[in-house]
Amino acid sequence: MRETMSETMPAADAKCAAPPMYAFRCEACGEIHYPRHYVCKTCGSQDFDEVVLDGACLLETWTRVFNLPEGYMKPSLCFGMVRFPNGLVVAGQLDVEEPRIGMELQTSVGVIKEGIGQDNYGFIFIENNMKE
Amino acid sequence: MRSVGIVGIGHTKFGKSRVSYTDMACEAALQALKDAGVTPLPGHGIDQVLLATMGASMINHQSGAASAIVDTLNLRPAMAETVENGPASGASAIKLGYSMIASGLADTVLVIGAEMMRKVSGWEGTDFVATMLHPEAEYPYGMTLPALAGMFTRLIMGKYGLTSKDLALLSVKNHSNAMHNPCAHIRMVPDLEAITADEDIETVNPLVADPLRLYDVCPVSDGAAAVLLCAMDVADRFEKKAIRVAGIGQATDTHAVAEREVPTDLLAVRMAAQRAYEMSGLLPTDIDVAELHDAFLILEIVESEEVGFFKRGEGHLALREGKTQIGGEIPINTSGGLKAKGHPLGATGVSQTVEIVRQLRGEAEGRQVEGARNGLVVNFGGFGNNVVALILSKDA
Ligand SMILES: [Zn+2]
Repeated sequence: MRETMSETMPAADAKCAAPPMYAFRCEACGEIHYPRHYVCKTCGSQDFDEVVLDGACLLETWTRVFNLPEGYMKPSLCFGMVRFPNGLVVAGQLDVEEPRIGMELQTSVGVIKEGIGQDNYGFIFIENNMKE
Repeated sequence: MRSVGIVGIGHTKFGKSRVSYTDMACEAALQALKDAGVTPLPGHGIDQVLLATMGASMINHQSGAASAIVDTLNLRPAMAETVENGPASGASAIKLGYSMIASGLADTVLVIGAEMMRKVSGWEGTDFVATMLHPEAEYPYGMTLPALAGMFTRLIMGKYGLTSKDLALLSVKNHSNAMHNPCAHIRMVPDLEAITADEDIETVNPLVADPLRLYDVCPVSDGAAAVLLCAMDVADRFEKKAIRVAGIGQATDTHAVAEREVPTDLLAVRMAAQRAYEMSGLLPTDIDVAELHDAFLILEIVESEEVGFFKRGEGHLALREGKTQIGGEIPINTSGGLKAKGHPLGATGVSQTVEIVRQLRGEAEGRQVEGARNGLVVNFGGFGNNVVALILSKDA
């Protein structure tokens, strides 16, 4: 069973080929997990629903890193941790000019690392232009 | 359960090694054996060798490296294993050696920590270290340990008022301590004004992971350290008086850092230290000297709070008041810490233990904490997802 967690539109647009990102909700007690665990941290149940993780979120903290690992052909990359309305905190890449703690962001899914044959997709948090 | 002590220590000069991985590990091992008065001849009496390393397989292309080292030292037929627990491999290996002796499976265990990271390019090395991050939620994003430390530092600054200047002050403290440690990688004290001045800061002390700058993070080092553990009931076989392993604690935390309930807490540090205090019957106020895992300087501050030396949010205030320098209330990282002594991952926990043994023996020349009787080691794996704490005591 899959359902969307937010009322806002997914910010997919040009990245519509990107697969959705899921959180994992315990079928027994409703606790939401990200990343995936096999056992619920609250009740110990092993049955989970996938729920799409998208929409608006708030920036909790961020950094810009200047020494990247092998495979990232960029001088620097920005990362952030964001909080979703359901309380879940998730880390991802940040595509924001001037990050500020507490700013509202929009979730997008994009290529986080180019691969041979297959790219890696994941969260890229962007400025929320739909706000006004 | 048998009591366990340390009767021999060895430590190479950290930095860029000019010898092979095996040579470097053997150098530390031989120093520890010599220090204990053991000659590695047939009948040497070493029952077990544990080699702590994170990257011997990945970086140096040596798997099962403990076997090679036992053979090179002609310590056959001693039992041998390689222990990997990320940057906490060293203290983990000491914990396992302790367990073997306490259980009666061995009387003597030689623990060697050795890491040679300067063999590969900076970006290969960065990728290698990043492999300890969460394999789905962190690593594929290009996140690194400095990335997690940068985000963590920003949270601590916002919550407790710690500033970049505090980190610079800490950098100067640890580099100053390293000036008295001949084994330290970097023996140079940065100028506080120069590394904090707005003018030209991006040249002198550039950003690594905003807000962390060059002088806030440890260098990449090669190095090895070794300790010889033995049962206290056979300790009189050795030349040096044993320093007792009084407490061991370990705890894990969420692998993905974003998943932590209180993002400014280092819960595994708190729990590991609590367990070590309980086992030893000691309190934070009984500790005279500590080696805390300052791969990023922010960690020394927060660990000093989580292990109970200071209240939460007051570690940087204690630093400002000089409480953590030699001669202060509780000297931290007299060796120079990972920041200045260097951080060869798998060797670090063993190296921290060597420093505490030196302090408790009264052999820490130039940086001695007078009258030190109890010392604490915190060896931090991942970004705090697996932490080992050790308490060592000098018996009367
Ligand atoms: Zn549940």
